Amino acid sequence: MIFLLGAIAIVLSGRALLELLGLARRAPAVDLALGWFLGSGWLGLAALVSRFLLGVPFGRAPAIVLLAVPVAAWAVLRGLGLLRRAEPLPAPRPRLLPRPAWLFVPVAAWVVATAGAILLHGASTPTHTDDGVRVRAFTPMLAFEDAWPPEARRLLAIAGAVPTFVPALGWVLAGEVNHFHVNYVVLADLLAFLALLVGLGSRSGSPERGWAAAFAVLSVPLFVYHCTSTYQDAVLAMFAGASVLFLLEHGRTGDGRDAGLALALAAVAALVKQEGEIVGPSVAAVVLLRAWARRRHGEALPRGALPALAAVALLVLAAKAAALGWRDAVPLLGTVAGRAAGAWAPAAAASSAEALQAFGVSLFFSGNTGMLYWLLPASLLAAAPRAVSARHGWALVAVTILFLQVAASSIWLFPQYTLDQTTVNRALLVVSIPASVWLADFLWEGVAAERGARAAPAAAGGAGEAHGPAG
Amino acid sequence: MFGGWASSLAAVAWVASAPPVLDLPPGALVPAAASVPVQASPRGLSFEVPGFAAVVLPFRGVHRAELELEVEGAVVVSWGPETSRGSKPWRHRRLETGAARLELRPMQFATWTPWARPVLRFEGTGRVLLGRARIALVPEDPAEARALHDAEVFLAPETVDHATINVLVPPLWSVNRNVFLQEILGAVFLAVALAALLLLRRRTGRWRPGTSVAIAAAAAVALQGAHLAVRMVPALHVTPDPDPEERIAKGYPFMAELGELARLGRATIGAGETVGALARQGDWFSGQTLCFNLAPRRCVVISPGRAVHRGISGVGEASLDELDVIVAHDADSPLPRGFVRAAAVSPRSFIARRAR
Repeated sequence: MIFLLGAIAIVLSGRALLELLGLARRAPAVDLALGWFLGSGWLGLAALVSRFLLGVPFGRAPAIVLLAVPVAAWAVLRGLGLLRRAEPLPAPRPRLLPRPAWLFVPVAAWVVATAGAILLHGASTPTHTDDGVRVRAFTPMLAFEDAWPPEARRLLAIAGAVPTFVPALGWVLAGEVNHFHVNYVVLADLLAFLALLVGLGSRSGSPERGWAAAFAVLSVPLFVYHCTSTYQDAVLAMFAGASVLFLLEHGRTGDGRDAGLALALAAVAALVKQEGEIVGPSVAAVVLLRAWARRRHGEALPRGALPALAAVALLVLAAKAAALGWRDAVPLLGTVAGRAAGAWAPAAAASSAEALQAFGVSLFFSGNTGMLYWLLPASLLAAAPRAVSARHGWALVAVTILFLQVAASSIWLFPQYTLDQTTVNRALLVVSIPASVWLADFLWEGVAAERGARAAPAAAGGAGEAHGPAG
Repeated sequence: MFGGWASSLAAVAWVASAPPVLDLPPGALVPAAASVPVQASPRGLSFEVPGFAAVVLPFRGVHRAELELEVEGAVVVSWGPETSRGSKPWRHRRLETGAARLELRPMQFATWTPWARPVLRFEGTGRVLLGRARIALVPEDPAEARALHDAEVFLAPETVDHATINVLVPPLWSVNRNVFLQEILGAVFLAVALAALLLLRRRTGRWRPGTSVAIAAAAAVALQGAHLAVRMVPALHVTPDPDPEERIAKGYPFMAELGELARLGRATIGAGETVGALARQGDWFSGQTLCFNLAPRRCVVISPGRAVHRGISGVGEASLDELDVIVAHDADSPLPRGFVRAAAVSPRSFIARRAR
């Protein structure tokens, strides 16, 4: 019950943030999911900053205050008439049920059954995944105890602010620890992600796209298993996937608010694991680049997006510097710089050539990524011009950058963990999930375009559907 | 390729329908080797599990074995062919006091050979009675045996343990020809895409590559998803349990007593007490997991021989003098002086408190 109360508080806080930023979509499922994602990000960011920059201990009262700030700000601004209600996007009539039914009923059944199995297994299973170095669900315990010796701060840097503070919310509210809250948070992230995929598709009149995306992400076998665990690789992948989803949406609508949501979700991704500090800014950079490149087409960012993003980055950096010192504020960058400068080398037994081969096995044969890395290049080959269009090209750039980062990490930075298959498969999740979202959108768009082309002559020049055919 | 399909499908049908060949009454199954003394009686063969015991069954070329067991205590039994030690999939089951029926399928291991005998490895503390056994042997025809081996590996359930998070067992279409499922599905994808392209062209008069690729992708992903479901469903824990304590107690099915010990600790150790977790040297998992499940109690993993012991991931420290309680799981070092057993799950999994 206390978890549910905490979750509602997070959603309300995130929902208020959406209104404050003018990013609400006016679709219940989408706004609920975004409320959870942005509320989680807000709690992680605010707790990090208040604890380490302002020195306020993380406890019941501070947590309540932090979550209440966006809600209060929204209420005050709205009361003063300073908050303009966002104009709804010009969109086709929302459609709930995908068509044809013979195809999408099994797809939806698979999604529901898989999500149900993940929920049951994830909620039933205590953390028993460990790599001998750290228990992944441990940093929320540190947040609950609010004891931060140097070793604990190093763990915070590895886990990130969102995985540390969000699961601990129910504990600080109740004053006691229920270990399963860590599981519940991952499961809530999954539900929100699926609601976002399906809800956004339905809202934009193309539920097929949403169900196809949900089907695609739940067909990545290791992702399915990870969602039942307390590891955070799947969580980072979901935030990155959600950001790429809105990058795609921005390509479709050209509305700056979608770019704003892509940036906001990338910012939250930056607060998940140390890898998020590279993943989040990478996706954000593509969003910014796209907005700059398309500025003459009226696809600019929302006002204040850049200063807000810069403020978040500075606050995170300053808080982490206060916690760890400037030198260790972004530990992964230090690792990369050290490797590039030759300050350290991977284990002698691990060569990059062998790691490249093992990386290929992970992509194509190991089964951990399903069929994704077979279908992706084949689909690109089949419709290369469409893949680099303004609609899909920028999101593909983001996915490619993520892929290159993981490839560099797996082959050059830590080849030993690729050879023994300990980290390479879960590192790939952050590519696989955004890539699945992209691929589902790309494939469905191809089908819709071809059906639209067939329908157009029949309609004798009648109004075509900008967002794909209805049937 | 299609010959492989046919033989595998035939093997699957054989797996589903083949009756047990040998029916051995209690006491007739005499192990080829055992790491502990085995006693025969009219009810079967019994032996103690004093932490660990291994029993080698006397048959080679076993396809499937059904064993009736009676257990006193709690043990985790793992099994596989002699060639399976340390290799995945790790087949295991936690058994508690009472009767149990165990089904062994040694051919689910890639390392299976016709000459390897099945081995049962018991961990925990208790007594096991091995009763009636039914043994099905592999076909004599080597090609048929290979096809059966391929099918068994292909359909083997996923192993869920503490390392599954890193990597799932690779899906092998044919373990004997080293063909991965992905290769087959890649071929299916290409074939379906081509067929859809030609069919749609014929039906609509247009080339529709986007639709063809989408149909082929959906087919390939659906087949892969079906295989994933076959492998994952038996491995998942999908029975809801509202009690977190029960979930922790039963949530470590690959360790005989760890979950129960965590539950006992959570029930009997006070919030303000300082705990030391003592496990076997080299067992990185038990100590950290006990400390994790006992959090937010102050807890360190005891490193014998050291003056100061550290908590999970090196966070927090305490000396032996500061400890109020020790939670010991299968430890190979003696209990520190001044502590006496206070509560126990078994002789090797217990809670000790400072003697007054």
